[in-house]
Amino acid sequence: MAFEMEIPYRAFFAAEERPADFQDLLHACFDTRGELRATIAPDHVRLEVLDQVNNAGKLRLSGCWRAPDFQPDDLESLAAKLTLPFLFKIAAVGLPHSQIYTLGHDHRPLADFFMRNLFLAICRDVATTCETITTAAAVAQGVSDFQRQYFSILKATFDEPALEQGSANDAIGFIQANAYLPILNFNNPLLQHGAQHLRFILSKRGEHSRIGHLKSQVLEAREKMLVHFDT
Amino acid sequence: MKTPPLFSIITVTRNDVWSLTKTARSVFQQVCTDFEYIIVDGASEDSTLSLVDFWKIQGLVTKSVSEKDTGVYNAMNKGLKMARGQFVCFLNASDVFADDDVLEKVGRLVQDRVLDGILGWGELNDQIWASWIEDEAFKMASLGFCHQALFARRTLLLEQQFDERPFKTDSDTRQLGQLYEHGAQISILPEVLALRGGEPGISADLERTRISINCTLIEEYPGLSDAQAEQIIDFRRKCTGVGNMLALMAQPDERLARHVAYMVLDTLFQKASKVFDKTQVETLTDKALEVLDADGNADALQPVEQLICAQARRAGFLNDNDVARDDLDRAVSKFQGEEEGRIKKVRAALPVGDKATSSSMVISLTSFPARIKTVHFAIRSLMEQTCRPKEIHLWLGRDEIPGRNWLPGRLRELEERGLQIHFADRTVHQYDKFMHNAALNGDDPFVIVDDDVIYPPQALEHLFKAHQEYPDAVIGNRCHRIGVGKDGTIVSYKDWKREQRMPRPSLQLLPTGAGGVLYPVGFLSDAMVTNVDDILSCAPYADDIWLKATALARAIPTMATALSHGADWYHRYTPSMWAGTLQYANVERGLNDTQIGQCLEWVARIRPDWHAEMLKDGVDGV
Repeated sequence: MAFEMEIPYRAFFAAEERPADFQDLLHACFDTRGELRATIAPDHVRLEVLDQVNNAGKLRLSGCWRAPDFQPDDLESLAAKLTLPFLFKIAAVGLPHSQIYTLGHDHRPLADFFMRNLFLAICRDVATTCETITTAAAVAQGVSDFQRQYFSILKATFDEPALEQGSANDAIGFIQANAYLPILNFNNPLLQHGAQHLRFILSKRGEHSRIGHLKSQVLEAREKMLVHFDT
Repeated sequence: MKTPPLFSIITVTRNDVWSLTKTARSVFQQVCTDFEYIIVDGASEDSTLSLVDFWKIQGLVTKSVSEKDTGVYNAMNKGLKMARGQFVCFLNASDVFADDDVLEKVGRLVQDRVLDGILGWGELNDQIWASWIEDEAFKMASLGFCHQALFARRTLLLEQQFDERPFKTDSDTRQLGQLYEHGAQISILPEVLALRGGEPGISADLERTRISINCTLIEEYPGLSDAQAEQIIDFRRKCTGVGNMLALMAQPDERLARHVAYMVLDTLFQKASKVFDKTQVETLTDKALEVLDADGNADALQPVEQLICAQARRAGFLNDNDVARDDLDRAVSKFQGEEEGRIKKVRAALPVGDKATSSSMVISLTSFPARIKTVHFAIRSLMEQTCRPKEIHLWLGRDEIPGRNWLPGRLRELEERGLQIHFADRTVHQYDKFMHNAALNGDDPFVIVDDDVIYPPQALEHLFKAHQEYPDAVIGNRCHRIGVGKDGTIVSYKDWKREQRMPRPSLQLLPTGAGGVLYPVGFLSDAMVTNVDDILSCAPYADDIWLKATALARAIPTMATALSHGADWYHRYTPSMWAGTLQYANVERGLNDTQIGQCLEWVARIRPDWHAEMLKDGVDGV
């Protein structure tokens, strides 16, 4: 049994615009022990309850990685996982019924409901799948809005001067860059460790990419050279 | 005290005088003149010293020595100690610079930047030695390089002199590796700066080089066993023992592993590596890159990027060579069509070939690799004449063209029409035209022609008729008038009047081979004409001038035929006429004047009154 509804995009991110029949969807999710999924579209958000067939208990995110170097295993540490929404451009988020811990306050937007439950799930180190979709399908504005929503939760949770730099978009940019270069210094050891771990992994991934690239260049150059030895 | 020159160019030679003529000319033709030229001769028993004297008189050779040595590296060290230039390059006999602006190019680089040297690339018959690593790993990376393209700071070379042990063949590679090891900043210039001599040097002896390289490897890499050194050589030469190289790259000596990795990568770009299958190539590449990336130091991988760029450029050069060959082939095909048309018209209009009148003329010419695809045009034009020669001889040097299989089909086809193709063991360049068969002139008139000219159908007829009228004279279809100043001295060659004729034979006419020159019976077979010492000390690059000198020495005049006139002279040239021409050196750089001067001094020793005789022989030209 599946339930779904569409609400205007603006309403999904606007406070005090949670539709009344969202509760029905929520109840259906609990009743069916399904997954509550929000998918961003250019002018609306589709909310639906889906059966959990292969992803029982797992968070299911759809989107694309911010840079080609990233892989899901990079975020194996909890600390690194906390930055997931900034590194994986989320276009859709699926919450299994077992991971819906907070219903949020009515005055908060639906986007907050999804991001807050995502945050709490990450904090509990819940298994997460990241499904890659085409960049065309990932609506840019929705991704940014999701990131800002998540950022506000992170900022409210951790009292970090590093998260107070400039606007939310600025801070998000610094967090993303911090995955490659140590430009932020977190007071919180969990956040600091997470960033260091991420940088270490990405640095090694970059090296492997370079090696792979060099190898293909060597082989390609060799093929071109050997042609001259055919005559 | 004079400022030391920027360059010292050193040539080591022994019993290889005709190869030395190429090398010296290449040095002479350099646009940059800020160099000294040193010749180190190993007590040659051929005419090397005559050639050295020629170049000393001309001013090219600054210093020379001729004495026994203990081997090529001993001689190179000797030259090094004689040098005064800031940067030294060893261009041994038979090697040549790739272009006339090599020294200018290198000079700009070493003066613009603080460098200890420049290492360029070398080429021989489409094989390019493309150095790429500016590192001590040079000792192993390519197990060889083109030392002819190295310009290194003299003071540093003196600190790391060549290993002179008699069995060594790779002392140059080891030296360069040691220079890098001691911090020398020698930058690689990915351009062909030198063409290696085709004659086999010490590095052609595979067994000897194996011993030498084995010794270098064991001495430079203390942890390497004799067996491992042999494995490296086998891998390099035959691409065998992939497992051995993987094992070497996995052993704990990081320096050795890294150098082997570079060598493995370099080997993958050599022709022998075609034997590897895809898996082997990938396995070797993976392991090499893994080794180089072992400590995460990006610097170790940077040479790999240099290797990739170098090989791409090398492939580009070879591609350019292929394109040039294709262009020549197309030009030859086009020319072939045009020549067929011309010959058809000639046959229709004139009694040529089988219908021609016969004669006793022996024709002789020579050619060389750059013109071997087109020489048949010149020979065929000599077969489509109104006056048929008795014989046509083509002389080639086996050291340049190894044998008949290297000849184009169209040239070999002409053997069925009577062409005789001969191979001398060693070429004597343009003197191949008559040096080997001058004795034939003992009985018959001998005609020397060039290999890039399409001779008009009556060229031989003109020569023969004039010969019948003046049997004791040299006959030329294209003659220049020797220029004489008001004071009676001979003026510069470039001021002589071209394509002149006179109503009778004259000592003042210089016949040129381009038009065809007939030498009367006995002219060339006189021993003075083929005296190599005299040739090389007087006119190593101008057989026309030498032969004229021998004519003056015997007061034998030259008769210009009716063709020797500007408007009538013009002959068609083959597509490769500019290849290997001596025009630049002889005419534009004035080498003809030096040769003329030397020849006339020689004439004066034999015939002191030659000058007066020549002046008296002048008649106003028409």
